[in-house]
Amino acid sequence: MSVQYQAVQWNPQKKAYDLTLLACVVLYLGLFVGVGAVIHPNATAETLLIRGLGTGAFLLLHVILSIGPLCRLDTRFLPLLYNRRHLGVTMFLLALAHGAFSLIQFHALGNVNPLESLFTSNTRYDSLAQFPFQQLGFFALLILFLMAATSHDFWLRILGAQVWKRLHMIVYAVYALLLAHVSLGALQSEKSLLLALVMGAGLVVICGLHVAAALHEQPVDSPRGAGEEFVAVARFDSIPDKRAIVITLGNERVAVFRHDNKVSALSNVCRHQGGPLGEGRIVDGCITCPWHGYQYLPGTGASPPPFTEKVATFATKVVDGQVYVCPRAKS
Amino acid sequence: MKHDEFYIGYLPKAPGTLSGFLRRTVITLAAAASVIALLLVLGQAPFPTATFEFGDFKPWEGTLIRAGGVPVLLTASSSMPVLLVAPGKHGFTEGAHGRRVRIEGSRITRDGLTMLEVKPQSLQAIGEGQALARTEPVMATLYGEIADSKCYLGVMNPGQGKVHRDCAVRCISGGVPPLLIASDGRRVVLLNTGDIRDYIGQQVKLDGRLSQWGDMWVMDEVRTSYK
Ligand code: HEM
Ligand code: FES
Repeated sequence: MSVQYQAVQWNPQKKAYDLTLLACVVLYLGLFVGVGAVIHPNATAETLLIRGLGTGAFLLLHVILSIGPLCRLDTRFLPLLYNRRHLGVTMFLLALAHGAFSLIQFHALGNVNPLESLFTSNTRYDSLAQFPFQQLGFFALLILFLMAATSHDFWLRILGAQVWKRLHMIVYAVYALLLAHVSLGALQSEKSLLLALVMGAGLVVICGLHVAAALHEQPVDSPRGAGEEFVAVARFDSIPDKRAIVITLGNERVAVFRHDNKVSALSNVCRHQGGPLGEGRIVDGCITCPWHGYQYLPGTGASPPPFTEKVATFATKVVDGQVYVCPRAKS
Repeated sequence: MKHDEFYIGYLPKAPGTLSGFLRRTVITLAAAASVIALLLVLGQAPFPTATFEFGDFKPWEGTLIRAGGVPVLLTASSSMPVLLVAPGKHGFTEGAHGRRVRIEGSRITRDGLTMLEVKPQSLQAIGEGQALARTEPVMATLYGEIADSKCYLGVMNPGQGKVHRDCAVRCISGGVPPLLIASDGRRVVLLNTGDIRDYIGQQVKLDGRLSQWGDMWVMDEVRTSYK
């Protein structure tokens, strides 16, 4: 955790993840360009590559945006989340190739440099049908670059989890920019509705999953216990061993873990990237985050040495099989 | 909780039933990606027949005509003049009007029009040329889309429409002749258009002096407006 970020840690799972990802990318591009060249013999290779890379990157963005809500709905998807940043970086590289090929194809070898051309060839900001859609792609690419460049845990430490998380939430702005990039660009030229339908289906899936995940979370979201000394939260027997239930006390999410005959209450928010600790387990005596496996001791909320992370803990007591938690964090 | 297995990414192996679930997920994703790739490939608008014999330079001979700023080559074999451009997004600026020349060019063809991308410095003047047969210009109104002749005739495919608009602007700014893809089916080379940057790649109305150079339609002193 604190000292782990120095080198990329390779293990068989990570290799399998990356190889699968690579295979899917090759499959997609191979099909797009290969089949495209056969059924559209007049299309230039550059056009097929530009379109294959652009749509491939956009498709991968849909996968990336779906993983979060899918994991909230079904924890079996968590392994996809573990290396989600690899998806992000791969998506950036595909988008970069698409943008670079487009810049060369449409803007290079002219009477001004390609970047100047990108911003001066079309200035019809007043028209939707003629809007300079390529510039929207450029800004999306710029943000993706910032996110890919700061994806490493090194930057997470420098920026702090909050700022880092906020930075990475801009991915939704990228999604919006890209919807506009395609709607005001390729969709204006295509005669068939297929691209529009596929993109619309993607939007429905992304919105649907986010709404479903939000609804799924509702039950734990009603806060209780403001001002009280100890709050009854659950029957001891209702908490599975080495696991937790999640409650909201005041305005904080708290994970109440049971291990053997004891209970511990900790902030539900992992210090790494804010993963839901209450959905983790106690492994080898440590509460283990379901997202990337950061660990905390149930008693103190501190990561075992040499790590230095610490989450807030709350006083607990069990009376007649009823678990009580103090709503104020221990200082 | 429904699922009893717990995944920790830095351990060497995922639990058994979880890896089965993951395998099914990945196969589903890969299948979905393949279907989407095929749908998008099939959904593309048709690509017209157009050719660019890129890098394949052949010798050509004829009279260089520079009337009105658009350079063409009049050959002995056809009454359709051959349009001339330079590599990249640039117009052809070598040689003097009216001379018989020999050049090397790679051919670009579509819709009965031919263009050569002339190899730089390959032009040799070899004598006096012939005159260009031109009809008397008449005022006319045409409708259609303005494209850059080089991309439209085959260097890019598609070489027109919204996605190609920026490129067409760059080519035309660099001296490649603008070409009207007229709604009546004619292909009309445009001369003296003024600043048409905001009119490229969309349906517009053109007023100007229409004539024929051999078999090639040409509109001069063009005024463009939105339809
Ligand atoms: C400098 C940045 C960019 C430029 C200059 C650019 C340019 C273009 C151009 C010219 C097209 C139309 C191509 C055609 O239909 O023939 C296009 C389409 C597209 N672009 Fe971009 N783009 C950029 C960034 C991006 C980024 C970051 C993405 C992210 C995934 C993206 C995704 C797409 C998609 C999905 C399409 C539709 C593909 C299609 O035409 O069928 N673009 N882009
Ligand atoms: S969020 Fe990454 S380990 Fe908890």
